[in-house]
Amino acid sequence: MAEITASSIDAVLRKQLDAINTSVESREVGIVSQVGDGIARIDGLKGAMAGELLEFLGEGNKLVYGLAQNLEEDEVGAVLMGDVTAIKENDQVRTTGRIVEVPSGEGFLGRVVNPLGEPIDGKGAIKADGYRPVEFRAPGVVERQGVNEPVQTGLLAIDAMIPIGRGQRELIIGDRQTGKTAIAIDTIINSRGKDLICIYVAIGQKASTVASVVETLERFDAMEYTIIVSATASDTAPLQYIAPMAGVAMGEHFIYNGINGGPASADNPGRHVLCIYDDLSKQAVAYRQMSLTLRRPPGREAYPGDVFYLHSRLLERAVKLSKENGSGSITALPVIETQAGDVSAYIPTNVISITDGQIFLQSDLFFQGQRPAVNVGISVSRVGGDAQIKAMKQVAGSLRLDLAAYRELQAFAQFGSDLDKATQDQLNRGARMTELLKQARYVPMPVEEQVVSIFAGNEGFLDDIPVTSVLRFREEMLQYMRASQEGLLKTIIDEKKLSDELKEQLKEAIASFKIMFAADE
Amino acid sequence: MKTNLLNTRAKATVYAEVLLGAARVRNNVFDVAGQLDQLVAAVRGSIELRKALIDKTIPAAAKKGIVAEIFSSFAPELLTTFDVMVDRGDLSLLPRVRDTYVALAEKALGAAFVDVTTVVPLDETLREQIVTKYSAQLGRKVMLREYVDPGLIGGIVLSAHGKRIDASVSSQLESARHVLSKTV
Repeated sequence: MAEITASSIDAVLRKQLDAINTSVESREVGIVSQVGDGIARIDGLKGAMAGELLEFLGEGNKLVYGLAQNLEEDEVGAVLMGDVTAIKENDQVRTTGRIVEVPSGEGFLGRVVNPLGEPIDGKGAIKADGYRPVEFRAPGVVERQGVNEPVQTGLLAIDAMIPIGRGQRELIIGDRQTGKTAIAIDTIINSRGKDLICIYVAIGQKASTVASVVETLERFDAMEYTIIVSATASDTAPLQYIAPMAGVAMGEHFIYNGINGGPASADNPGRHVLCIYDDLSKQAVAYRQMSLTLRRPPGREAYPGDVFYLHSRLLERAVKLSKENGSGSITALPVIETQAGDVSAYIPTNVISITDGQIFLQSDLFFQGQRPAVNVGISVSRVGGDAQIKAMKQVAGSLRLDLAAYRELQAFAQFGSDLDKATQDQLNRGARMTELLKQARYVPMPVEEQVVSIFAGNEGFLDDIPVTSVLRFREEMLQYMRASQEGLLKTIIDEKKLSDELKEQLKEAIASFKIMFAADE
Repeated sequence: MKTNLLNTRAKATVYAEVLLGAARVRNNVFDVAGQLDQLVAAVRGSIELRKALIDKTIPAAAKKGIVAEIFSSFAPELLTTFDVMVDRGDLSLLPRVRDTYVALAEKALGAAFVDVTTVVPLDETLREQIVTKYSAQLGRKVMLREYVDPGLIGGIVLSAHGKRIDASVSSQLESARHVLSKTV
C-alpha cells in the first residue's frame, strides 16, 4: 500500500484549491421583491435571458437556483428550484450567463437522479462525462434520416400491429390502471442486449411507485442500461416541469457523442436512446401551476397558451440522426393519462397530434382480461412500419384489418346465431387471434417467436383448438421450437424474412408439435 | 389611448420629477436617492408595513404618523411624496419611482451614483482612487454612497446600475466553500 505522506496530502489539497476562481468579475444583481408558491419576482436583472439560470443567495448564504421565465419591463419572474423556504424578500439574485444544464454520461446508467442530475438513490456521487442544456433546439431536416430500425417492445400486440421505430414518437394513452407504465417497463426489460439506453422519467408520481419500478428493473437486470429521472409528486412544480427536458438532455449526450467519447460521426457512431415520459399530463399540470402563479393568462382548461409548444419542442427532440451525424437515435414514448377515456381533452389531443402514432389502452379491455389492453382499432403507428423486419410484415400485414373485421362481425353476430360458414370461420379465427395477443407482464417475446406465433394463427393451426387453450398452445409450441427447432428461429433472425421454403419448414414443425399437444376439454 | 403600462410609467415619472424638484430646492438630490433605496427595501422587507399602508380602514393621518415615525431621519420632501403615493394607492409604483428618480438625478447632476461597501469607513486616499477609476470607466463624474458592513471580513463591494463587482473576502470564501463541497 502506498505510504501517505504530508506532501501527498498537500498535493491533493492544492489540486482542489486550484479549482477555486479568485478573479473578481462584474455580475448583474437584482433583489427579490416578492416570493411565494415557488415563484420569485425580482427587481432589476434587466439583462437576464429567457430560461437563464439565476442564483439566489438565501439565508446564511444558501445558494438556491431559479429559472428566469417572465422578462418584464422592470422585473423578472422566476421559478425556484430547491429550497424555496430559504428565500425571502430583499435577498440578492445574480445572473449566471448560462441556461439550465444537466450532467450526463455512462456513470448515470443504473442510477436514480432528480431533474438536476443529482443522485437520489444513496449510492454516492456520479462522475459526469459532460453537461447538456435542458432546452436544446431539435435537429433540422438535413441532420435526420427516416426511421429504419425497430425498437422491440417484446409485446406481440404492439410489435406486430403498432411497430415502433428508433427515432419515433409513440404515445401511450389510456385511463388510470390500464397498463401504460407496464408497456414502458416491458420495453425497457426487452431492450437488454439490444444497444438501447433507456431513460425513464417519472413525473408527479408517488415515490413508492418509482421505487417499485426501480425494484422491477433491478430484478430483471435492466437497470444497468437505464437512467431513472424522478420528479415525484412532492417535488416542486418547476422540477416536474423540467424533468422530461432533463431526461432527454441526458439522452442527447449519448447520441451526439460517439462510442469513443468524441462527437458522433459516420466513423464514431452515436448510441440509441429510449426516453419514456411517465407522464406528460402531470408535466402539463405542473406547467399550468407555474404559469398561473407567474400570472400568465390562462387558456383552455386554464393551461397557458404555449403548452402545445412545450410538448412539441420536447417531442421534436426525438430523432434518428443521419449517417454523417452518427446514426444515433432518441425514441420518445410519452405517456398521457386520460379521464374516463376522454381523448378529446386539451392535452391528449395536443400530444396525439404531435406524435407519430398512439397506443390506446382501454379499461374495459383490461377488465375483460385482454392484456395488454390495446385497442388495435384506434391505435396506430405512422412510421414504425418502415422499421419492422420483413418477416413480421409478412405475417402481421393484414392482422389489424382482420381483427377490425372480426370486431365488426362480432357486434353483428350478437343479434342472431344463423351465420354462414365463412362468417363462423372468421369469428373463430378472430377469437383465437385476439387470444393469441394476450401476454403477461415482464415476459417479453423475441421477434422470431412473435413471427412464429402469428404464423401459426394465420395458417389455421389454432382454428380447432379451444380458445381457452390458445395461450398454452403458444407457450408450449414456442418451448418446442426453442428446444427442437432452434435452427428455424435462427434462420428467421438471420434472413429477416420468410421464404417459401422456410414457411414450409415452419408449417411442418408446428404440425408435428400439434400432434403432441393435448388441448383442454 | 394610453395603456396601463404607459399610465403607470407616466405616474411614476410625475412622482419622480416632483420629488427631484423639491430635493433640488433643498440641495438634497444625492441623499434622497440613497433614502429612496432604503425606503424601497424597508417596504419590500416588511409585510406588516405594506399591509398597514394599503389598509383602507386605517385613516390617512394615522398612516402618515406611521411613516413619519419609522422614517423620521428621511428628508421631508421624500416623506411628503411618499404620503401622497400611499394616499392615492400607488405604493406598488415605489420601485419604479426610485429607478426614474435615480435616472433623472444622475442626469441632473451629471454624475453616476455608485454604492461602495467596505468593512471599515473609507479613507480619503481610497475614496479618491475609487472615484478616479470609476469615473474613467463610466466616462462621467462619480458620486459614492458609502456603506460599512463588517460581514465582508475584508475587500470591497461596488455596485452601480444593477451591476455589482464583489471583491470581498466573504464572497471569495463562500465560492471556495462551494467549489470544495462540490468536488467529487
